[in-house]
Amino acid sequence: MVNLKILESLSKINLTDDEKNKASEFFEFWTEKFDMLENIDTENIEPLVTVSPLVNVMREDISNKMVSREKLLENAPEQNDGYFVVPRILE
Amino acid sequence: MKIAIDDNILIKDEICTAGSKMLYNFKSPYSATVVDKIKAAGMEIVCQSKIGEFGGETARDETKTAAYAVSNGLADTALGIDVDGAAYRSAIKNNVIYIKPTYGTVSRFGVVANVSSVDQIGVYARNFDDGFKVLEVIAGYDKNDGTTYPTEKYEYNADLVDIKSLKSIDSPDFKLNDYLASVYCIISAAEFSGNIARFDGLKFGYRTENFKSYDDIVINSRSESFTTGTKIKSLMGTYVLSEEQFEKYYLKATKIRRLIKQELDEIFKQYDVIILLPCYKAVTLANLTGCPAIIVNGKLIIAKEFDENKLFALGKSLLRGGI
Repeated sequence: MVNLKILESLSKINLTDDEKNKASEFFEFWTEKFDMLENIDTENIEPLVTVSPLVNVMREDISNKMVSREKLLENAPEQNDGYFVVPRILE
Repeated sequence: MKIAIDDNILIKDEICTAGSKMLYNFKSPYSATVVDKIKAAGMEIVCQSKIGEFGGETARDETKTAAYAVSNGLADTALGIDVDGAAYRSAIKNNVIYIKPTYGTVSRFGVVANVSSVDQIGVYARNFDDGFKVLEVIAGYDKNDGTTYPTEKYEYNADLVDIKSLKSIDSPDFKLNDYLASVYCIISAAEFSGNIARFDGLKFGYRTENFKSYDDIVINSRSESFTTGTKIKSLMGTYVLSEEQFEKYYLKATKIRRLIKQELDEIFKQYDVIILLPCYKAVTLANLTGCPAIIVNGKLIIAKEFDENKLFALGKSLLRGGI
């Protein structure tokens, strides 16, 4: 049985009671299917994480300022003096 | 050429919500590479089309979607990313075509990510000439997206293919068919949960009014703004990536993904294109393997990587027969 409480805490998401019921059904449905994957022999098979070639992109070591601090802060819910404002973290 | 752009592709200084309350007020600080390319080619962006949250669900108001805009002539073509088959379904419903190019052909820079290893910008259109014309403009290497192939320009031309010699197969037997949905569910949930971790109510987007602590902001902003579907998928991603389940589920799924790719490659040794009914499994097959696909006449047609011209030629000939 999946412990939703731990997953909520790790995901930083709280579910309503209704959502908890839906989540339980979802997990029950899928984990049963997931367990069938064990039937497939994957000995010596390398994982396929991406289908693209993923070559390293190199560039000159010169700073490249794409977006200004002001522009990025325009979207901040709360800002002051060029910084994001958040509640006090240290007491 | 009038183009609609889905609301998860950034257009500088425009609001980009990605269909989520979390980004209800997010003003794009820059444009996606595809938007810059569209503009540089002198094509006109006529509207932003609506999507369900992060593109994984269908928009509530169908008349605001990309497929609807194209179908009704508000736009000639539209750019949108298929997630979980939502774009394919929308194209079929609105009787338009949809072209998903090979993964890594079009830059994802400036796109609100959903399933990064699967997300690929595709084109809705009323005919294949328009669709591939736009694809030619947006395709090509982008230094800002490390998953794009190094090819600078792609040439799409249906005349390069002899349609008579094209070998196709309808709904072939696929040994791993029964496992496609599970593999996709595990991989997509895992990547999705990582991608939406950035939404914390601190730096941009929706912030809850109900908080005392730093943690309150993060948890309440996310919980109040995400849809139920997003929340559950995120929890699933967290689960399959957790220490106890990682090997059993996530790693196993990525290994089977390789087997799926290998099985598909075997079919492509004998056939040029595969014609499928666009059910969930067919959709996941096209998306997990990164192969190009088109939606035409209610069918999903898949080809081998970079065989877009075969799809172009076949699609054109099918449309000539009439939708």
